[in-house]
Parts: sequence; C-alpha cells; structure tokens
Amino acid sequence: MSESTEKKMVRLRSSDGEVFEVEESVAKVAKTLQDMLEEDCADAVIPITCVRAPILTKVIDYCKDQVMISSSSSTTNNPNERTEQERKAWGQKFMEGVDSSTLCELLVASNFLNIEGLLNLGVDKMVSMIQGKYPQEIRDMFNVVNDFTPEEEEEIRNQNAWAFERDPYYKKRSSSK
Amino acid sequence: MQQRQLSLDADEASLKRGKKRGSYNCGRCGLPKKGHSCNVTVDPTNPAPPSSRSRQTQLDYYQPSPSGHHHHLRRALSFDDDDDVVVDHVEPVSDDEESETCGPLTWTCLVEVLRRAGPKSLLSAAQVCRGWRDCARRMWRSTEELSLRVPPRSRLGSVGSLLQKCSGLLRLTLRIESDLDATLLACIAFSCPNLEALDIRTAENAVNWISGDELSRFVAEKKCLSTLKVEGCTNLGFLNICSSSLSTLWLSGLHSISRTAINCPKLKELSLEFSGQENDSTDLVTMVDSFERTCPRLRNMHIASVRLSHDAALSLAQANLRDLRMLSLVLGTGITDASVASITSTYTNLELLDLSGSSISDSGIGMICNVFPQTLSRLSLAHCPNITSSGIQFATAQLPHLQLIDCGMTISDPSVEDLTAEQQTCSTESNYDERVNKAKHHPMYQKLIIKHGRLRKLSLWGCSGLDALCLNCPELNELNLNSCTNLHPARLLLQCPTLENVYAVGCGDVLIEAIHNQIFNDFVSETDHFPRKRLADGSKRVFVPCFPSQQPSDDGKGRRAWQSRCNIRVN
Repeated sequence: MSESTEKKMVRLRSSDGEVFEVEESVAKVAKTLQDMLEEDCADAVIPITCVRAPILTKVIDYCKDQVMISSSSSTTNNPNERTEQERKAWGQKFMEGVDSSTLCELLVASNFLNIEGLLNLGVDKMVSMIQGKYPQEIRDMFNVVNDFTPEEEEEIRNQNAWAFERDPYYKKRSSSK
Repeated sequence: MQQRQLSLDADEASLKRGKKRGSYNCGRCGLPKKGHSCNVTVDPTNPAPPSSRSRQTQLDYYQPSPSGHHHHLRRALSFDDDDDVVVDHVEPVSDDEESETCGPLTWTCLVEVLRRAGPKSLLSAAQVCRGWRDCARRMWRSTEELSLRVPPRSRLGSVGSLLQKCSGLLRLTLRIESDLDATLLACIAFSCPNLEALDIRTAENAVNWISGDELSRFVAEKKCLSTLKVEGCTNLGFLNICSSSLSTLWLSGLHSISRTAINCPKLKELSLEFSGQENDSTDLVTMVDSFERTCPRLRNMHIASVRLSHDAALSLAQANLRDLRMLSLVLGTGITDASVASITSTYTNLELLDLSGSSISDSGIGMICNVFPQTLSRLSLAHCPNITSSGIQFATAQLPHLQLIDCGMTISDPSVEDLTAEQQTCSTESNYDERVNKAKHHPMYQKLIIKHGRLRKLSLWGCSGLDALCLNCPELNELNLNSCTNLHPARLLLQCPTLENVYAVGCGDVLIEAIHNQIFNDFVSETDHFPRKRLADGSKRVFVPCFPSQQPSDDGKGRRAWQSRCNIRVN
C-alpha cells in the first residue's frame, strides 16, 4: 500500500458510472489521457463517457500489460525479434474470445482514448473476421442494419458479383497449405 | 525471371493505401472540427490531393502516426455530446450525423478496418449497408496501388466497373486468368487517368489478343505512364512504342515481330522475352541496331530469344549504348566467345551479365574476367554446356566484386547435355529420373573450389557432373545445390558462416545429411577436422585446402543466431 501512495493514481469513470483507479503510468498509455494529465486534470475523476465498464476493464488490462512490457524490456536486454514475436502472441491471446460486439466497443474505445496498439490489434482482428465473409454474414456478425433499397442492393451485387465466384484455383491453393 | 515468378506467388491481391489517422481538424478549412460548421466548398472535380504515399509507407504501417494530430485531442474528449471524429483523409464527409456512425462502429474505426481489408473484403463490405458502402467507395477512390487477380470466366467488364471506382490509381497490377483483348486497355485508359505503372500478367492458358496497334495507341495516350509490363504478347505482330515518359518496358511472350520501333528517349529498362518457338521470325539484328537512336539512355537490357545470334551481339556492340550497365542475352545458342569479345570491346562497365543458354566456353569467361574485374557483381551462365568447373573457378577468382553467380546446368555429364537443350525451360520429374540413370553410366566428374569474400548467392543447380565442392565464402547467403546428384558427401566442405538458405532438392539423403552436419555441427569444431578429412570408405585421407578462418573465434553468440537462421530446403 505504501507503494501505491508513492505512485500517482488516476481515477477513471466509465459510462455506466463505475470508477477505476489506476496508476498514472497505466493511464498514460492512452494518449488522450496523457494529454489530459499533462494539462493538469489529475485530481478529478476523469469521465470516459462512451466506454462501458467491461470494456474499460479490458482496456486497462491492455494498458497495464504495455507498462509491464516496457519496464521489463528495459531491464533484460532481449533482441528485438523476440519481443516482437512475444508481443504478437500476446496480442492474439488478448484478442482471443472477444466477440464481435465487444470488439466494436473496444475499437471505439481505443480510438477515442487514442491507444494505437490496441486499435491495431482490434482492427487486425476485425479484418480477419470480415475476410471471406458474405455481406449478410458481416451484417449478422456486427448487428448492422441493411438500409439498402432492394434496387440498390441488386445493383451493387451485380457490380461486385465477379469477385465472389467460386474459383477452383484459389480453393486448391488454400487447401494444399 | 525468377524474381517475377516469386512476385506472382505473392498474395493474390493486396491493396496498399496510405496510413494517416483521422484528423480532428476540418478537411476543408483546417479549423478544429468540434463545434464548427464549414462554409468552404470543395471543387468536386478536385478531391483532396493524394498525400505522397509510396511503397515505403506500407512498411511503417504500424508505427505511430505522424504527430500533428494530437494537438486537439483534448477537444475530442468532450463530455457533453456524442462527438464522433470524422476522418477526412480522403475527402470531407458531409456533416450528416447519420454518416458518422456505421452500425456499432464509428466512421474512424470503420475507415481503419477497411483500409487494411483486401479488395475482396472491401467489395463484400460495400454490400453491408449504406455507411459501409460510402466508406468503401472512399477507400477505392483513395487507392493508389491495386493488385488484382481476375479469375477465369469473369467478365472483364466487371473489372472495368471496379477500376472506375479507383480514379486515383497510380499503380495497377492485374493477373488475368481469362482471355483478354484491347477493351481492357480501353477500360484502364478511361478509368485511371493518372496511371504510372501497369503490369498485366496472364495465366498460362489465357490468350492475350492485344495487337501492336492497340498497344501503341494505349502507350501514346497515357502521358504519365512510366512502367509498362505485359505478358503473353503473342498477337502483337509489330512493336511501335513511342512515349516520352516510359522508363521501364517489359514485354514477354513475343512472337514473330515484323518490325520494331521503340522510340522512348527516357527508357532505362527494356526486357523483351520471346516465346521459345523455333519458327519465330523476328529480326533481332535490326531491332538491336535501332536502339542507339531510339533509346539512347538504356541502362538495363534483357532479351530472351532463341533467335539471338552472334550478329545480334555484333550490332549491339555497334549500337554503343553508353549507359548500359546490365545486359542479359538469354537462350541464344548463337552467342559464342566471339560475341563476348565484341560485347566486352564496347561495354566495359557492366554490372550484370547474363548469358544463360549461350555457347560460350571457358575462354569467354576469361574475356569477361579481363574486362569487368572492377564492376561485375552478377554473372549468370546457366545452361552454358561448354563451360567447365575451372572456368567457374577462374571467374570467382578474377572477379572480386561478384555477389551472385549462377552456374545452373553447366557442369553436367556429357550424356545429359543433349537432354538439357530440349528442357531448357523446365525439367519434369520423368526427365530428371532419366538423367540420373544416364549419369550413372558416364562418370566424368569435376571438382569446384571457390574462395570469395563477397559472394552472396551461388547456384549450382543441376550440376550433375560435380563431384567435389569446397566453399569458403564468408558472405555467402544462399546456396543452391538442387539436383547435384553426384556430389560426394565426403567431398563437400562448406565454410560459409552466414548461410541462410541451402536448397538441396533431389540430392541424396547422405548428401543432405552431410550438408546438415557441415552447417550445424562441423562448423563449431572446424579446427579439429581440418585440413584432413577421411573419405567415406575410410581407406584414405585427402588433403582439403585450408583457408584461414574468417570467423572471429570468440563469436559463439553469432554462431548460435546463425544456426537458427539457416534453412535447408529439400522439397
């Protein structure tokens, strides 16, 4: 506890009112918060209006890890390749089991708080989720409402149909791998 | 050729777009966007200028975005309303609130996602809803580089409709698996006014119906085209390429070109690959002769044709292209030592020389060594049946700047040589078996000793006549021993600490094991083993030349790292 008094703590309030207390170094991973803290808003509780508590928990997890990585890599002199690999593996693990709605909220939160690394992780995850999916599958996955008129939909489908033809060459290549 | 093959196998389609996160300032007037309504109108015909993105920007994709957009971040953290940040790197978005959120995502996030999605995903995403469609549309419009594979049976018209979305396209690569004709060129000419580089690749069975007339019209109309690569040009008939902007021209699959006029004062790189058919009637002598007047700044020249003759080499020597640095005359069995003599008399600064498939002998190599000792860094002599291991050894000894040497299919058994002429392009499995069988009856083996300080790549693929190999090359990175079927495992010595790739397809198991041992085990304890080495039968010891070890003795750490890097590829 004595340590926590030494380290400056920051309080964050999620959109549903829950208050999180984190170390300043953790909060500063988010560039938006860093800018705020440098402009001296440290005493007040910082409201983060568009992020719900479960999402904020996840975000804080990420920030804590970033702080840990940066402090540990400065002590042990690992070659860059290793940490890169580890970071990748860790990122995959971190994103594992994140469902599509959580993912969207995470993306919005990391964009709002300006956490480049988390945004990249989320975007990569989402790109891999979209890949090879039909429009309806994407809609179902991310709860997007189809607001096309039937005519519009027909038109755009005709335009893009060629890309969705099953082609044996591609199939063969992907299955042989 | 090999390089092109590699790039063909690369990702079927990849989009490269610029990075640059969303800005918090208005895209029209530059004022902070929060609480701001912009009155500046934008000329719709002149959308936001494309930022200078290039291939390199792809590399720093994941690095933090350039500073400069953090200044107003605090403004973004507003607590009073749901303020969404509108990205405007493409062009200003309407202030409609509707367009700012797309389902569960904000526009910025969607832009980030779609920016990294491939073209196929982008097409799919465009069908999800209006917001996604608009975002995808902007993506297409801001795309500068597009690489697309067109599957067979798909109508080229649909490719055209896609290209129409990409009005800002600068570099286009199409891999086409169906027949194509000039309508495609017309489509490209119409849709991409600023195109700088066009690369059309055709699948083997696809027929390219573009005629010489159509190609010359396309080139003449595209004022900013600097790179043009077209495969499968079997139906051109003649070549009439006149352009003041073109600097790179690659045409392959050429056949019976009746006349040639390549009038490109800025042309630096020219590659003409003819289809290997015997009945080709192209007059290469006149063609090469004209280059002096029409393409005076030619730097790299590659011609692959069975019609390449000594006369063509002579006229090239007379053309006296002052800037020529890389010369590749491939598949010309008519290229002889005399041709080498005339080329070396005119061009004395060559950095790359590729005479694969020619009839030159060791004395031709001698001339090359005399003229280019200070400049030549890449030498390719694959499929030159008349050169021997002593010629190769001489070349490596006399050319200190050499970094790459390809001697594939050179030191082969006499019995194999007649076969190689027929299968210059590729060797099938059955042919390979035949060769192995024949080789066993004619033991005429050669040895090769190479010590070179700069050599990075050495290729000895198909050197079935090679019996003993001794390499001391501290910089050697890649070694190709594919189908070196008669290389004796006990007569192999590799002192190459920086090897990363060894190819040993079609080698015997014992040899592969020997290579493995040499690289991973013997190297560590090399001092114990050399200079004497026991033969496999244990009967006698041979003296293996001992070179001073170039490896610093206390380099244990580097050695471990190197070990983990080296791959031996056997299939």
